[in-house]
Amino acid sequence: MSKVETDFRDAPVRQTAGWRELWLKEDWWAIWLGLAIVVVGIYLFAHGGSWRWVAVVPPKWTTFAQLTAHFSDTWLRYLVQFALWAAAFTVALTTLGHKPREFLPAFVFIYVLAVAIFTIGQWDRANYYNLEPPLVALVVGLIIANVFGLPRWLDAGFRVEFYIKTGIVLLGATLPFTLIIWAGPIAILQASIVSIITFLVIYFVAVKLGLDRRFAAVLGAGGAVCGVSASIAIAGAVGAKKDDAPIAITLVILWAIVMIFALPFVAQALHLPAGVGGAWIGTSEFADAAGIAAAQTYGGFAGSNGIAGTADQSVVAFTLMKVVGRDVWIGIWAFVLAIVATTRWEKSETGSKVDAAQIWWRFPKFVIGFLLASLLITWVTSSYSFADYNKIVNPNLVAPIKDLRTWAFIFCFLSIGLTTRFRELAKAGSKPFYAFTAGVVVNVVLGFILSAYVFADHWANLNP
Amino acid sequence: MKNRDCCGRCAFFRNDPSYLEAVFGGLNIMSSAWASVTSEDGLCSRHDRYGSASGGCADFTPVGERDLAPATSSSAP
Repeated sequence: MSKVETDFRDAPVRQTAGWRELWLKEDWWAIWLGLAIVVVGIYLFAHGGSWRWVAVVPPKWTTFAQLTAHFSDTWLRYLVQFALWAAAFTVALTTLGHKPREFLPAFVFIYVLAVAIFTIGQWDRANYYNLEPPLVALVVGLIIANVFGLPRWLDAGFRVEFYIKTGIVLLGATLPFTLIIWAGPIAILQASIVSIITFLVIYFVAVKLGLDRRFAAVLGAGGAVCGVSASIAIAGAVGAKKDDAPIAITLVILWAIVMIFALPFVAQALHLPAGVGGAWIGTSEFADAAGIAAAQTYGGFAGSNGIAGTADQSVVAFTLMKVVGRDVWIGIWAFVLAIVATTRWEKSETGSKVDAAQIWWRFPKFVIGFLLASLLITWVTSSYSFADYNKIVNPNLVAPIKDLRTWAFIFCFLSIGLTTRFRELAKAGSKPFYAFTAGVVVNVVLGFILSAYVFADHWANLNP
Repeated sequence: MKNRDCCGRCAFFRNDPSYLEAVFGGLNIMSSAWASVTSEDGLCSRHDRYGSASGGCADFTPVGERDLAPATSSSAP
């Protein structure tokens, strides 16, 4: 029996269905934390205050003297911000079952690195050297994790999914709900076309190569729906073998990291408008965290290098495509594949029950927070004129939330690199690799055609 | 987990999120065992399959009787 098996031999079965989900699942904690920031922001705004003091960020800088002056003036604000993030995350992660004594040192480490990376990204020559914060964070994290190595217990603070989900809820607060209603249907249509075709390509190539059908479905979902989360959800729904999910995870991670670098630079070479680039990334990246990293990188190119549009257009187009267009359907995918697994595949291999309730239980709940945050801010700001919105609401309510969102995203980008230890990933083998790669090729090409040609006007004119 | 003989009540079923992240290398990189999408899924150590807590099989073994139970079928959870 391995050490892991021994360590967890007596761990009780965790029941998270029903009301327990509200405090035992990360998605709900992302909602509580994100909405708390939004609601407190609205309260402060209504009483003449703002998150501005806490939501400090490094300024654009040219000389070290400017930086020194900034940090000597604002160190207390960074300290308070750190304390608030640390307190909020500690409450959430402790309730989920993590140990504060492991999380806190890890979060100190990640926050200090985040300040450094944010500062590098604000250098006025950063864009010239492609020092976009997501890419720098990823590379720094990968080097630390794979060259120097870190104790595994520090992973308690490197919660990629928790940070990205919290950031996406905060992103909702910076989007008018009307934009989601306007752009959502196209995102769903485009994402559905690509998801279904990509899934079928991976699935049939995998089966043709002789792989088990459940494994083929796990691979297909990973490439077509929402990356690692889809693979693990479908593995559970169809009763996959223990070794299937880790192989799919390896392939998703390797291709996702390749795409973080490839998609923004190819889009840049093709001079795609920011919204179009974001939509392409939303269609063709595999995981939310990796996609936000790529979309934010591409957003950083906007306004220069011949890239039309704004940084926000890239991130918003990505989020609509990935979160609204792809992520929300994972429960449906799981339900349908569970039916297929129990009725069409070898029934004797699994005792998994098909239960329509899993559409809800597997639903990525943080999307609810994203929509609620958007609704709240839209409602609060609806009585302001456009001029007053720009003069009063944006600087005092929306912009500080946007800055806090940027911090959450940087924690996420760093965590991707810091948790990716290539030597610890399962070996994939050639057949799964070929099947998955076939899907990647189809996905990228189809995503490009739909984003840059079929729906190009829609994405280029996205106006967050 | 309404069924009394379901995987979620079996001695061979484990779904502790820390355990799942330790067994599934890389799960925490771009996802999480604490995510809603994982529902109550877990690993069956008898059949080496990952499945739903509401599933079941002929080898169901109540908690506490794990080391006494012989395998009775080759079916998975």
